[in-house]
Amino acid sequence: MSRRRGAAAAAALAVVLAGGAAAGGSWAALLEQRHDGARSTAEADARYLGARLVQATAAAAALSSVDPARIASRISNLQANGAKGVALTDGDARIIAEPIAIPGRGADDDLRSDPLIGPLLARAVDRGPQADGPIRVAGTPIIVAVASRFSVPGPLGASRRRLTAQGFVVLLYDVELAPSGLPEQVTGPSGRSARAGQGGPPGTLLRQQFDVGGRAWQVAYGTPRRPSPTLPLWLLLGAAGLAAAAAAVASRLQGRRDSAVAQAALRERQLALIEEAGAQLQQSLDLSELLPAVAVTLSEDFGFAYVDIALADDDGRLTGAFRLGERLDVPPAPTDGPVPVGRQLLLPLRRGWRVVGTVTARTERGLDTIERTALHALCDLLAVAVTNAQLLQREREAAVQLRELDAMKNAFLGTVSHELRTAMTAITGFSEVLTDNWARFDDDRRRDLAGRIRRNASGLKHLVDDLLDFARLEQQRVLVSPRRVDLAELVGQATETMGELLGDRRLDLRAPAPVTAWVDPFAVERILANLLSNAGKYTPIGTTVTVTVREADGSARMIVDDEGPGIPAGERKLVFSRFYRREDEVTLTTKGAGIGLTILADFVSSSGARVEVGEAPGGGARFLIDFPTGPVTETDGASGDDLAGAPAGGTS
Amino acid sequence: MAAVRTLIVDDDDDMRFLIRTIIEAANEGLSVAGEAAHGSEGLEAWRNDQPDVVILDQRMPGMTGLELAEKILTEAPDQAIILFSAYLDDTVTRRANELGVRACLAKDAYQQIPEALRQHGPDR
Repeated sequence: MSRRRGAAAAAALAVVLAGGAAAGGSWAALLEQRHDGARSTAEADARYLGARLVQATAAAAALSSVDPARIASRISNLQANGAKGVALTDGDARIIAEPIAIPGRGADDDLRSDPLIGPLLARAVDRGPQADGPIRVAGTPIIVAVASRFSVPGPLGASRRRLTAQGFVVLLYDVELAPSGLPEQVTGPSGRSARAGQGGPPGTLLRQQFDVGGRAWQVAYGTPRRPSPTLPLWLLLGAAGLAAAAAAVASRLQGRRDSAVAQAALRERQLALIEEAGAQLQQSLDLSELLPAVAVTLSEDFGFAYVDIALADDDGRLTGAFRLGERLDVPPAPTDGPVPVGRQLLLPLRRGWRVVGTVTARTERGLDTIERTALHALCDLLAVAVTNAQLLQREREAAVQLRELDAMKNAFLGTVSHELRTAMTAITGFSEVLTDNWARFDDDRRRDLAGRIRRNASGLKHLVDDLLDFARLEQQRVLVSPRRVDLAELVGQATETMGELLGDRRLDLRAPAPVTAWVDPFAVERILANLLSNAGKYTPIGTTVTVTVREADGSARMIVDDEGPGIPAGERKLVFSRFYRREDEVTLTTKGAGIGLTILADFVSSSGARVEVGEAPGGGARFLIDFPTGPVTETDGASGDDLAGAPAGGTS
Repeated sequence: MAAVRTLIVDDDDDMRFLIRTIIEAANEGLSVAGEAAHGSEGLEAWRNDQPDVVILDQRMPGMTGLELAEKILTEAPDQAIILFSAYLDDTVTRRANELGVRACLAKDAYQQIPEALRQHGPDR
């Protein structure tokens, strides 16, 4: 195939209706009505066929013009959309090529003998000499027969239902391509032309023009001959008055029937368009599959050269998009009625009062009112499909989050049971060893073992406290009962019983003067215990942990500094997340269930305090907590959320 | 009875001390050849100390007890290893058997350590 031939292709299709004109005369008005009915049917059919023709021409041009890659892509597109077979035929319906074998056919079969394709081919090929005779166009007719599992609208798909029941339908593109030269001038026998939609004198050939790819394509169709308005001679004779009246009634009925048929055809076409694309919408709940499939269907069924589907969430953020074709800066289509050629349509995807996205499309062939109505209905279906897909996606994401949380909880339970059992083993083991060997061991040995028992019991108590706090925290925020206390004194007393948590590390308490705070002493103790326990885990033996209490910026400030490796700036917010443990060497060799700082953050938040993680003077970790100095209301107590991500209860 | 020299690999300082104390209190030819706090240290200590029996904790940071057992048994298939862990489930014990670990002891069964060492030591 040459590019030249494809580029010069012209097409014409004649639909010539044999009108009821031959029936002879009756009253002029009745005949006129009947004539109008027939003509509107003819025009509707012609408009539809014209639209299909333009689509078909574009498709055939794509196939014939040349570019094998484009043909292949077109065919694979058809295949992707469920085509069961694709055959290219000549004007006699003999197969030229069969890129996708049509099921149940032998290679040399004549398509005309195919029970499914044959009748449709006959309709497509045999336009036959009608009232005004055939219209001849130079060139080779090409018929693209596509067996698709999707339905095809309109007259050519008349056998659609039967074929659909068998699993696929036949789509026929009926095109004649001129081998060379300019687009053929299509003329009717009368030699006169008329504007489509306005009709014309009886017997004229109506022509409608469509633009595809910058070229003009014409559809020609005939109108029935207008009958003579004169009363026939036999009526004047009076002898057959009754027969004449009967004829008049029949004629009137026929006119109504024609009109009803035309309306039904329009409705059927509209439904067929919706049905075809609607089927696509039910095939997937995966947005990444749905959007491309819908875009392709829209572009094929409505002849869009550009389709852009964009989805947005409730805040208007883009959540998904798919684009087909090249975006051009073209004028928008009018808000209703037919869409002129080359205009851009912007269609909202509405779900109730919510707009879930938009479809932007540019038409290369124009849309009539019916197609436009169908398109709007389709957008409603698309909006439903999109919402369903989004809901499913959200469910899937939630499931993934739950699985992750579940894995973290399992790891947490594993760690906790390990820690509990190890501490219990140490306590019972050392007690037994001590009692069994009391006489053999000297004082130092006994004291060492007793110390180990005490330290493990203290660690066990801390772990159990944490678990209880954590269980409470899972249910609700911890409750605190604040009162006015001297924070310096409170911290001083608390640290006396917390030495065990630090192991072989020194505690340096700097609380020289009373500091008034509005706190629950229990909350302060839990916060301090978790900070000291943390320092006891993450800092080298022999280092010092400094606890400072003073008044600062209108708050009662407590600072815990250690001489450990510190916490990298990027992780300072994460340390308050539940089950969070850093993955460095120090952490891996350290006990801990990853809930201590989560509990701390919750106590901080409940106390109306704020916590800040920073760097201590020697490079170690610094935890700075500002407690309120007087009663706070729910709203003005800074929770520390902005600084520390506390409380961490948001993920449950 | 020949002396049974034991290497203790456990990340918990108290657990190592408990095992050592129990071994030393049992006396009767049992002794501690060395201690290690995690897997890679344990592998190095095993190569250096050449113990008769290795007592391994399962749940340790970095390398688990079974991972260390696999490395040791690849180099020395006859090495006696006892898994001493708070974390013994079917998967762990099955894997231990596959690898050729001689015994699995739960942590609260620490009294059985001397008996297990005698059973799996060189003279068994």
